[in-house]
Amino acid sequence: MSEFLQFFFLGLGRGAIYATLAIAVVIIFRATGLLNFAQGQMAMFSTFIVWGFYDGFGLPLWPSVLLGMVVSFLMGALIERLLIRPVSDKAGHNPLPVVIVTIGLFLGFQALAPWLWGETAKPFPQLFGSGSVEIFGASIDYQTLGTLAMLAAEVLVLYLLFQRTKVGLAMRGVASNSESAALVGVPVGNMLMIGWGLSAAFGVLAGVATADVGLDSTLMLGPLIYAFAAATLGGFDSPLGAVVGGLIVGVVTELLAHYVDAIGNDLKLLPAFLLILVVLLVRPQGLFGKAQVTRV
Amino acid sequence: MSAATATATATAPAPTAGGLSPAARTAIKVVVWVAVVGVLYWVPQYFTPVQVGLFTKVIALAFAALGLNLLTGYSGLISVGHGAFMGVGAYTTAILVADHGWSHGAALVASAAAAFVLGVLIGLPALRIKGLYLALVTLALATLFPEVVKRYGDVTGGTQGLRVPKFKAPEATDLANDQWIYYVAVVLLVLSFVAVRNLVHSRVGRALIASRDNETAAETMGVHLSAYRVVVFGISAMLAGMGGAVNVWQTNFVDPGQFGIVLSITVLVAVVVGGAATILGPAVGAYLVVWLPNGDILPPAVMPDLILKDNPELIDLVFGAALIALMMLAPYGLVGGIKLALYRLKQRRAVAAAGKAPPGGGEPAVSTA
Amino acid sequence: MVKRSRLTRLLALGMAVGLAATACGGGRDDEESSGGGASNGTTSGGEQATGFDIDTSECTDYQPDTGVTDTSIKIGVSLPLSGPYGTAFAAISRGYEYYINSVNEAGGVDGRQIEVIKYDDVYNAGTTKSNIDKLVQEDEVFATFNVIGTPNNLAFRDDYNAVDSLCVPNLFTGTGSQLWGQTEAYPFLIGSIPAYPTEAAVFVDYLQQQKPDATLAVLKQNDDFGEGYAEALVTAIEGTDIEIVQEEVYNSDSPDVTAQITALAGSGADAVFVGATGLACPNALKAITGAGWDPITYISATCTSQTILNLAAPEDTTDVLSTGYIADPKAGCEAQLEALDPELATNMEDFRAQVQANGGSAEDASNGFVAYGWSMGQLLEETLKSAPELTRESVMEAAYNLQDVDLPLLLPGVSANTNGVEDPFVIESLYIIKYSGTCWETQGEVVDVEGRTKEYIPEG
Repeated sequence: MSEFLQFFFLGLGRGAIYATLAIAVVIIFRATGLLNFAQGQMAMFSTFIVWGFYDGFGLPLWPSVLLGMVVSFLMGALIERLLIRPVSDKAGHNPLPVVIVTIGLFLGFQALAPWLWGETAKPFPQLFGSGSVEIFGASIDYQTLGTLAMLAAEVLVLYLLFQRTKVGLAMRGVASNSESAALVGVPVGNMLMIGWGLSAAFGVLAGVATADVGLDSTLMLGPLIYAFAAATLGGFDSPLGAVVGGLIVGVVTELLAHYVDAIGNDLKLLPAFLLILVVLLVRPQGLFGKAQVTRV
Repeated sequence: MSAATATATATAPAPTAGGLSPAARTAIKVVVWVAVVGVLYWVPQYFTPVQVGLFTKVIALAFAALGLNLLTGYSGLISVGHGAFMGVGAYTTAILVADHGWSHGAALVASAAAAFVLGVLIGLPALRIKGLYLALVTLALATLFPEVVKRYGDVTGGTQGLRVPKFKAPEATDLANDQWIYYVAVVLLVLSFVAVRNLVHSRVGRALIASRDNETAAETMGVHLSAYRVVVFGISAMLAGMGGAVNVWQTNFVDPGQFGIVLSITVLVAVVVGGAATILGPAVGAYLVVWLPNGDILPPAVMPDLILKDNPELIDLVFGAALIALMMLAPYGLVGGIKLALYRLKQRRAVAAAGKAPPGGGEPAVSTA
Repeated sequence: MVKRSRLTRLLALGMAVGLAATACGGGRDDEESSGGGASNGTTSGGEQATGFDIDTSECTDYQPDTGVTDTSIKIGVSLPLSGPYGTAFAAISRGYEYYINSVNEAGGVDGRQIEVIKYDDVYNAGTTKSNIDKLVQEDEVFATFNVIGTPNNLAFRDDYNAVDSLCVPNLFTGTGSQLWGQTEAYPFLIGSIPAYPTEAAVFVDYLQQQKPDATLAVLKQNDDFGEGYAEALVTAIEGTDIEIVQEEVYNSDSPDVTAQITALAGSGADAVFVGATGLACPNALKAITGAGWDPITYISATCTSQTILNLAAPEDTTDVLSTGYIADPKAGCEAQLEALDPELATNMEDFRAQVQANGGSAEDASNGFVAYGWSMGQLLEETLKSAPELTRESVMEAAYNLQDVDLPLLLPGVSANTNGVEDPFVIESLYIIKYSGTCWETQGEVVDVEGRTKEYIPEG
């Protein structure tokens, strides 16, 4: 039992990271109806920025993270304004040109990070310190507990933002129907910029929660697919879904890896991949997403 | 933006406007085709075996790019997993030839079939809903493929890879191996190009183009969209699988490192740079993505090697920037851009001659790329 | 280079029982030790090498001296210069380039300048193959040298290094696969670093001294590299009371191995063998501490670079074991070298000065990869010099006839020795080394398995 619990906790720890990245995916999807394939690489790049504040300027860890989020917000907003908008304006309802731009961003960040900061992996501190607590004979480490708490805070902040602020309401308006929103005077462009900015800023949290494995340009290549699986399962337009989906993906893949020899630790990605396929086949809107209505 | 831009349709095989007579146009076409065939024939006669090997790599990538172009350019779908389909083709050939004594020819058929089947299996769930999800599923596939290869090392050779017997030139041909492989590959490629061209102009192709331009409208027009898309995705994957087999002919070696996410993205770069929804775009794009990092597959007098050869770490940056810049500035890619320029020129001439406005209607089709 | 006769070594009976080299403290200048001891199948005399003769009659279109002129020798290299592996491995190539630069300035090898042409392969074996094609066929290099990576070398060895191939020397590959001992089939290929199974055997020997009935847990990468360790461990513990109680695999693309270590820790084993590369190494060490587990911890030699260890905290890395054969140039660790062998400390100072004199930075002068590359440059020079004539055949024969080549940065008692089919492995002496949290320290005497590596290679 305690062994099961141990791997359950491990799965929660992994899942919390997937969920954090999935939230960033969801924010952009809500705002624009698009998947940002560069989400992981942007988070990696932002984590390097945090590392720059932390290691380069010698700031304490959390202020570095906050500064990194601010810079990333600006970066995300600028990317939307300068690189995404010109393309999406031209493309109209066709998502593909923008998808290709995000793949260009994927390559660009992947190449830019080592060019700026070197290929050697950087030591990055554990956000919540090392150590663990015992629960029913299994241990759960501070990193997992901290990431889970951070995740809860994120969902709360996003809930308040979307439900209780003007900006949030406007963003929801744009997401559900941008033409109508524009008609009632919502500055659609600004909302899209904010969406990208928020997504980039929250992505930082995923990066810094992972980076204690060693920060290099490959940091988020692994988590990205799991995060997409999480967002697929939870529903691409639901932050809560991203959290639940992330935790389920984390726990299920770790338990399968440990208990099912046919999967094992070297093929954990397979269940995540199959999950994406099955969800798209059976319930494409995911657990918490709204079924999509296509307009002619 | 001028009115001409809005009306340009780079999917059109040849602009219909303009002052040339049909006979003259046919003549030009014949000349172009003869020139193309001549160049393709001449390559392995002129270049060294190493360079011919690089050209064969171009052909391998062009197969995958042709497949992806069918998907992206004409169906408005995108795959970030064509590297994985190349891998499936490559491993099918490698395993059958190395471990089961198949001939390269028979193995090519099996490679094509294996990639087709996998494409259909992946396409079924992904394409039922929305084109965007196909990108997601194929990205996951591209990441998963090398891990599966490593896991089943007993069959695949694992990270040490698998050594494959050479595809030897028959004695009667009197060709060197590299020439033989090149010629076989290039003939297959040209045939595939013709087949894809015919497919695009068929009823299925027109339905797909319609669906690309307006998914919902095409559905209501009674097009069996999902079924067409799944089959087209299968064909697209199949072409990539054939490219994988050709790649094995050239390297005689497969290992999982060759078929990672980087390869998938490279194929995409080739399509976008060359020009989606143009028949020749994929080949031009494939040539460029091989040439940029390697240099020296042009006659030395024509152009010097690019600096990228000496700054390998910049390649991804250049490719990434190219994707973004092309989407912003020239979504038609190189071949599409040239066609568009020619078309505009003719329009302008026609307008000047007839003193009337160009005909309206139609979407800028290639911006979907 | 100092030539000296082979050290006496008494290998205990049976490969599993005894790797303990009981004899011969390893001063570098040992003049004389009587040969013999337990037969280990290698030459025991000093000067009289058993000749190793390569037959080039099966080669296709054998070109004995392409790439050699009266004034130059062209050497080709393919290795990762960009991508995730680029930094570490590019440092290796800088190492030999610094050395070769110094050789060239001093007049070269018998008046010939060594010219190195290197291409990036991003660790992609398909690209390596294209690069080697280009190097041999277009750049017309005399030999390829220190090509990094097992699949990368496998991708071209049938075309260039096999008995019936183009017969182009592939000197001192930068990988420790046990496959580089197939001299009969591939006489034109030779490895450099100790084979991975050798390492495993040396560790088992050490473990037996420390805790003869130890239980052992194993973390391995899910590829031939990891499998090589795992199989060699099984072979090495035969006949001992050591027992492997649990094995876990990980994928090199997901360096978070917490789950695997948690599972291994659950076994409560006395010792753990970490056969890993890259980020998985520090993460395994962190997870071991995190699990509250305190086993005798061994990390594979691929994990021992300072850039890798720095990713874990000192409490995770202290007292971790590995094996080493070359001195670590890390700044601040001079005292360890001085204590081991004052001459080695002097050699290290020379190395640092020379690296910087040839354009290297201070970081390069304390980088272990640069030191390895530097030593490979020396080995290359030595091999070219000792070949009676500069033909491909003759140079390979020289490479397979290395007699106690004593490279300055090798640890005391370690030298390069080969003897054709009998003994194809270049370096087969290792120390158990222990990490203090800042520096590596050798433990006990050198363990010498000269000529016996093949015994640890699993069948098949």
